Amino acid sequence: MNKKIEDFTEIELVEAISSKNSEVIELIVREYTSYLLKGAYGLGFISDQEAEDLVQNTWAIFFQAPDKFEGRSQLKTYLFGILYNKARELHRDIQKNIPEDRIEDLLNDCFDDKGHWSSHLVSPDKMLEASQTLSFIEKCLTNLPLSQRLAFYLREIEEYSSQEICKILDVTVTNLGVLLFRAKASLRHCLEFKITR
Amino acid sequence: MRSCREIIRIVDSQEDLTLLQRMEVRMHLIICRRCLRFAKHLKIIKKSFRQFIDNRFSKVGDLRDLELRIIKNITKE
Repeated sequence: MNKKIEDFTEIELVEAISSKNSEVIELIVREYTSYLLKGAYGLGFISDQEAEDLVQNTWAIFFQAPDKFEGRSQLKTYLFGILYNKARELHRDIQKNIPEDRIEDLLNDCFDDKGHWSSHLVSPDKMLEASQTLSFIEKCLTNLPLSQRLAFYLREIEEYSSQEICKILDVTVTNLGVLLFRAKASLRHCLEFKITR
Repeated sequence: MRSCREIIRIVDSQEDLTLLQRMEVRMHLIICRRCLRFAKHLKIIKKSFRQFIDNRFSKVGDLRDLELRIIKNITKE
């Protein structure tokens, strides 16, 4: 079969998977496994074994009930949703409810009443130097909750729209804004801490 | 003129900025060292995150083994 994944509509894919069309199964596994593996690394599953197990589990869950995918989102988006839920289960991350705080509340820590900076910011050169040490980034990433990590990953690496990320994480646009703000602020503070320590 | 707090809120939002907003941000960053630092910090963090993921992924060997194992498991069921 010389067909490519782009030749199918999402609905055609669902039908082919449901009827256990082995050629289509092979096609989608080959198409999306690399994205899922990269996503697993982005979520902090750093060892090959951990990341591969997560990806295998994601596929297993998907193929146990392929009918659940109704073609309302892209298959890749749907698979990332499974990956995230499985990762949360594995990390025993029981924080199901995303904090309801607002970005304005988070900004209060950095600014005075007049809207001026109340904190010192390290030199970008020093931060650049620290960020080149990839183990620093890795350590800082592990401090982030999964929801923040995936939100940041999907935005920066996969360049997903807010709408798509909200679907995967099952959050509102406002909550997504808070997750992204928190992720960036935590990474920034973590790197600053490592520089000034 | 907008405060640093308002500028940072715009810089961080990642939404499509209007021409006026872009100009406001640019003007503010010319005169405000701290906001400029913050904007540079964000760029560095995003870039280093991408580097970290790319670096990790580049160490992955041939994916065919993993794909074959997955396909085998699925078709076995």
